[in-house]
Amino acid sequence: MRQPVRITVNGRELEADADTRKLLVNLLRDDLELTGTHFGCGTGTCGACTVMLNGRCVKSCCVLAVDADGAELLTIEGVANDAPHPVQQALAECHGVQCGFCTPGMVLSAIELLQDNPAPSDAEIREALAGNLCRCTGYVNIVAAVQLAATRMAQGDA
Amino acid sequence: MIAERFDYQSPTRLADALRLLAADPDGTRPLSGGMTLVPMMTLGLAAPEHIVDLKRIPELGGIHEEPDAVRIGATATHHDIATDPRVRLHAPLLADAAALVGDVQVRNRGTIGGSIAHADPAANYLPALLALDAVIEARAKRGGLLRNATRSRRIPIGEFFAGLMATCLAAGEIVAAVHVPKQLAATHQGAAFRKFARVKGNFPIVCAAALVERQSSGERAGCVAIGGALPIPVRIALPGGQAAWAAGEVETAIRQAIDDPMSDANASADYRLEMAAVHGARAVEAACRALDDGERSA
Amino acid sequence: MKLKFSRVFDAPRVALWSAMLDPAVLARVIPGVERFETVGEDTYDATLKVGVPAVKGEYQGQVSIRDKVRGGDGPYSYVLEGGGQGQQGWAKGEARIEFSDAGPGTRLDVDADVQVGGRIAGVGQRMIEGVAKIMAEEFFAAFDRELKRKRTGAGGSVAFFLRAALRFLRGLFTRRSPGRSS
Repeated sequence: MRQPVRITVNGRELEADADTRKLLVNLLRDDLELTGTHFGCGTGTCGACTVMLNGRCVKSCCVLAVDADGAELLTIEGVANDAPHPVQQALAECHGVQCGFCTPGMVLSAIELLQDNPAPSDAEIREALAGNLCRCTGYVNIVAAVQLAATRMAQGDA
Repeated sequence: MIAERFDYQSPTRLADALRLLAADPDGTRPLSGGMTLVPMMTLGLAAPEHIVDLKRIPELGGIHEEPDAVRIGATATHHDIATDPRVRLHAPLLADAAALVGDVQVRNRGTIGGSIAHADPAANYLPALLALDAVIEARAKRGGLLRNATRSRRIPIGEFFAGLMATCLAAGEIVAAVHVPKQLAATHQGAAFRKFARVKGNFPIVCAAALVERQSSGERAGCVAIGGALPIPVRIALPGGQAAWAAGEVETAIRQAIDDPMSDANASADYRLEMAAVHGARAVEAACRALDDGERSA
Repeated sequence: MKLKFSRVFDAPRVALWSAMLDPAVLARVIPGVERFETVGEDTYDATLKVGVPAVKGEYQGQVSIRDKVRGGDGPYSYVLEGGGQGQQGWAKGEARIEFSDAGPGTRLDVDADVQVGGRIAGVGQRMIEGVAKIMAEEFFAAFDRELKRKRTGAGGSVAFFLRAALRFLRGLFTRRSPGRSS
């Protein structure tokens, strides 16, 4: 059965008609054509589908689209303003991106971390990114990138 | 995309939700965080015809302080519980257990009600709530002619778990809240939670929740509850009449309490038993150190 | 997965042997059985509902009994072989069942080797052995009841009627079923 879903995505109010069987990740990718959010394992382990829902990161493959009715979403497409977000910039500079599949999820998780903890230790970064799996980089450069972004954001180098 | 069709409702009134759940208990599932149910439906392991979302019902959410306990709504997320200052103050053991569930995204969505109703034997909350003597508030539609009548009952945690992933909840009955008795001040009690998992973010092989309190005679009393070793959590009272416990005697007490440890691809029965003993003893040691710190700060 | 179970029953070997080979009895004692049909000599078709309250699957399968050893002083034994398939996955295995004298009763030893595959084996891997143990417990308990029924005969029917009446009365006031989870 289909139900109306009203959501605000990256600041824009949208309305979609979703089958109850549709997952939020599919609504974003297929109906709204926001394909920056990736579909990985589909069962809540890899984190490639991470989006911010009402200000906190969730795995959108574990959210029914109809359950997101009334929510405010931030996807990777909404992260940059005129310039890349410091986390995005740092990931590029630190070579924390290879295939890029995990990257949108990593960016959002890193943004949540730095909102809660602007000066995290490496261990805290690893803990915060534990829900985002990367098969390429071995995580080292990702952690370095988050440190670099944290430093810059603390200095006000937005 | 989930394969089987279902309808989805998200009532704002508890009586409406309970009525929906009672109408067709076998074909209806309550939805809280969805971190277990949604992947199960995606994988085709669960195919309810009706989903009743509990998240918009005020009585089932939030964290409230009562005179002697903290009432944690069923739909409170692990993140809420881990970071709430009242839980941190009055039941730090629970906050620690919540902080170690899954990963950040899981904690932002997953809920205590969903976790304990599902009763995965390795869930962090199970031994933590057992050690804390929590009480489960369960609600269901009341039978009879009144449409909105509901019934409520309080279930001591020791009676809640019935077996492997089974609880004593009746058909159509839900966890509404968890009442956690306020713990003693840090000067009189120490707590520690330990999780042992093969892979970060996974369910643990075993987890341990230890509580140690100071008694007037200078002796200490305490317990350690173990999750993941048996189909339901088990609580082991630490030998009384002592001011401290050697790791070896704690390990022995734990081993004696676990008669038929579970076995799977992550851990054989022997290994699981051994890890329960080792990590249980470490949790006790950490709880004792926490109490030492608390006593010093008095 | 290797599983071993042992249980002593209050019945002589001969009675246990014939009961455990009786399809009418098996149809009642196999846990979760919804359909049990004889399709050949010592070969049966069955539909079983297996799992934990939150995740129960329906499996269609076949069970056969072979290598019967009976007579003489040694223990009786047979091998039970079976396999089933459902939407959630599949299972197959074999179990050697031994009947030894234990005083006036009989000790039943089950030595089983079971493989489980499909989706349930991946996601539900941690629970498989637990579920197998629950099924073994249910099987032994059901079998115990069968043996008691056969023994008490007429008295058994009265007890059965009283229990049924009590269940009916209880059901009027409450609606309970074993462990539900979300």
